[in-house]
Amino acid sequence: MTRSGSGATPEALPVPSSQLDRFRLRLRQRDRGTVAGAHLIRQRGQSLEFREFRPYLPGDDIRHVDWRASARHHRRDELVVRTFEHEVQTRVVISLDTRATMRLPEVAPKLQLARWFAEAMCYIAGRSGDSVAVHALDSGQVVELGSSADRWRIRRALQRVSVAKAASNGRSLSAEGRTATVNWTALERALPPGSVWLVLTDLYFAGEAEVMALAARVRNAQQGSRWVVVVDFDSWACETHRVGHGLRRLDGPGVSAPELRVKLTSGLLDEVKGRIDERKRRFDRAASAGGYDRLRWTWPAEADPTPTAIFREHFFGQEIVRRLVMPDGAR
Amino acid sequence: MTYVFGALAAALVVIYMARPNFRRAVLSAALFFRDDPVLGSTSRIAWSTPHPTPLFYLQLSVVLLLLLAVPHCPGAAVMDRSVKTGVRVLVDRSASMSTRQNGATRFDAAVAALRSLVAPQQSAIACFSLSAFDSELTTIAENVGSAAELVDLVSRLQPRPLGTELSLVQHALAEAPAPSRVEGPHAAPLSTGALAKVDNGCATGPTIVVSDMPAPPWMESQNGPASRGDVWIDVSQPAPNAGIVDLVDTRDRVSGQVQRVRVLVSTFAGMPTANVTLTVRSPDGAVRTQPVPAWDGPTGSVDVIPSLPGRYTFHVNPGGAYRYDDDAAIDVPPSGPVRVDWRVARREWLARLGWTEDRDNPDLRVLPSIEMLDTRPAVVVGSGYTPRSGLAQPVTTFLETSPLVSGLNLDVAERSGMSGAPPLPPGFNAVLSGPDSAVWIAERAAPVAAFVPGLPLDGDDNVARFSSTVFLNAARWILERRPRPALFTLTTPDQPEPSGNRLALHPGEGNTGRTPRSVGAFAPRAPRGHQAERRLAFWPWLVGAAALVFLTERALALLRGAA
Repeated sequence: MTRSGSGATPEALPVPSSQLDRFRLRLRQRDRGTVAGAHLIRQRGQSLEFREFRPYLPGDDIRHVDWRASARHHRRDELVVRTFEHEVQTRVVISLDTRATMRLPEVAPKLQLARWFAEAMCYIAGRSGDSVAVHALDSGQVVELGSSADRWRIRRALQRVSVAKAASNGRSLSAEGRTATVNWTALERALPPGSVWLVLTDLYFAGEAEVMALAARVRNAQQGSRWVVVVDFDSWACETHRVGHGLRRLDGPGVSAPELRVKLTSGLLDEVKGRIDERKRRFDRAASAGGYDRLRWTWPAEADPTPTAIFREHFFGQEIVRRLVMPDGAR
Repeated sequence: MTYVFGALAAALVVIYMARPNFRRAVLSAALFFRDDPVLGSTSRIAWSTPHPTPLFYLQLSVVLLLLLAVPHCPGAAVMDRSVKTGVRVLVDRSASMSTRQNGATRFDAAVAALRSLVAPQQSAIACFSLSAFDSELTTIAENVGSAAELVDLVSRLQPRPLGTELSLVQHALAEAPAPSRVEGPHAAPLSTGALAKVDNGCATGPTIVVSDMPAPPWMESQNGPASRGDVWIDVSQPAPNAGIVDLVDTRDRVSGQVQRVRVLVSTFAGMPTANVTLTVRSPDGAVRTQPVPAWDGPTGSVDVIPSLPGRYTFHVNPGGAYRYDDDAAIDVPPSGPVRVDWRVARREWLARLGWTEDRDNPDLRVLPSIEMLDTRPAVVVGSGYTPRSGLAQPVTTFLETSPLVSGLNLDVAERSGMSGAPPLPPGFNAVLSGPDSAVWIAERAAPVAAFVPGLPLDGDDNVARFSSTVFLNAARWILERRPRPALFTLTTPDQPEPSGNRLALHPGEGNTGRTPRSVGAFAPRAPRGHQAERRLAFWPWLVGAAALVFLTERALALLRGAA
């Protein structure tokens, strides 16, 4: 029994544990053969007791495909594989970007959605018996949660990494990087080969160098058969809808005097959006090494979007999320 | 100046209105707009078309309210010199203004009075014009901007030993047009204060006259200066004084010899007469101090017989508050026989009359013919008398007022057989004439000349006395009219300082005992702005409304900017 239910505070994940209990982490090591001789997973049991059917995922052993079950499956193009109790325990590290850009928009802060996402993932992983750690992307702090499914504890851990960031809020990533060399080391220690690294960020770094530094870090992480999923929190549509068009005095993280006075037009917004997307594409190219995925959480083009709706839409509706978690009912 | 400030304010408003209304917008991706080449202008005063937003209309309302308030604002009215009262100041600087009273001169009192009068009204006065008067009216300064400057200008003036010509002041005040002539939008503030004239954009209205003379009666006449708002300030106060008020000479009518000089001395404002003495210095250096013996009320006289030609000086002691009447001097000319150019017979008459012959510089010419007349004084004598018994020369016309017929017996004239005058040149008027255009005695005023029937006859009969009377009447009339040197002169604007026998004995200047009399109360009409302020005070409401709308607009702008 968890200490918290759906969460009464705005920071709390507005999804009851009962709903999250229907999911379990569904992770598999990827590209097992890319690292010769490496034992990328730890066995959780010695028996080969059948546990469940589940859809075939890339990387699954083809020998575990249950053809009969696949034939009975309502979706013809989807194979079904047997899973057994000796499946491995997965290591999950969630890096939380807590920079100022993540604290916007005020109606639905990206950081809030990121924390909800992290909380849900931590809870599900803990309930699945997997090991979880949360990491502050910019400060480098790592908080180990183990296999805890205590939402209160999870929330406190997320709170800690968020507060730790608050002191350094506003500094550029590159500047923080020079002082957080050991912190990357802490992350590397917490991120063993074969683990899953979830990076929750908006990629709105101050400069190209910071972006490329993170991309390089992501790319390197994949060399240990780690699966890196960058969750891109994109609130552009919502924010631009709110500010509208016309003469604006732009304010926001990374902007200092003199103020940015612009005339917002569709053309300018499209151009800037294209510039942001281009940066993200460059990030993808630099970060991609076979075990990389970027998951976009987009805010609707509404003035007052509901954070809960955004979360529910993306957490339960995105394909890639379903690759991370699956309903227990699929057993 | 008002328009300059107005233009600046309008320019600021336009710049503010034209300035782009940059609403604050917070974007997490704001840094991606940084260094963007397509950024709009970052100038705070960049020009752009105002956007018709609610904030724009609120700003427009503020401007309109302020514009509405401007005409009602007293500050604007005060700054607008065209609607303020200009004041003309006439300051008396005659000799009497040097009279000392209460330890200072009357001119000092005039300066103080002017200061106390105009300084409190400075805000209602656009400008001053300053003139000074004594024997003349002089413009000192036009378009003086402040009361302090005016007082400073007045204090730099000094009384001059000249008389006071009030007719100049009367004429100057009469220059002010009647109130009915004041027209136009700027006339209301001036009200009855007349718009006398406009100098360098300053319309002068009421006139302030500062003098030590009592306000003349014409000040308060119907439609007089007082009714138009002009003010007469008499700064005089009675101050004991004694002084010479006049020097009256008595001369022989024919020879012009000064026979007597009467020195008139007066006391004023309670100055005791008993101690007043007159010191006379003769040309030979003799000094004689004597009490003024004959007093007729406050005025006494001393008769001086000038036995010698030359300068006589007089000094009154004690002099009192006014100093220019304490001393006087006269120059008595030397006397001598009448110089005559005698061109007729019977020269023995020169000796009989005590005259001397002088053909070069005669006082009188005696001519036998009308043709010998020129511009010099002359008596033209006819062919004489032929007394006839029973044959009358009826006198039909005679000029009774003429000195030439003074003491004549016309009955004798009609039997005297007077020779008639030939045709007389223009300018001659018949004094005694008969029928048929017969003229026996005639005179010409300029050049002075006379025609008589003949020289005096010997004998003691009526005709001889008649002929002597006619001739001597003509000679006296002419000799009396010859110019005589004055014993003294008075100071003039060209020569204002007393010197020698040039005296400052202008009539009335030493009269320090007049009762002060001022007329009018100086109250420049407030400009229209001031009147509006007192009556309605509408502009504060407009400004207040503008401020309220402005605050509202700013609050909304902040709220929207923070959104």
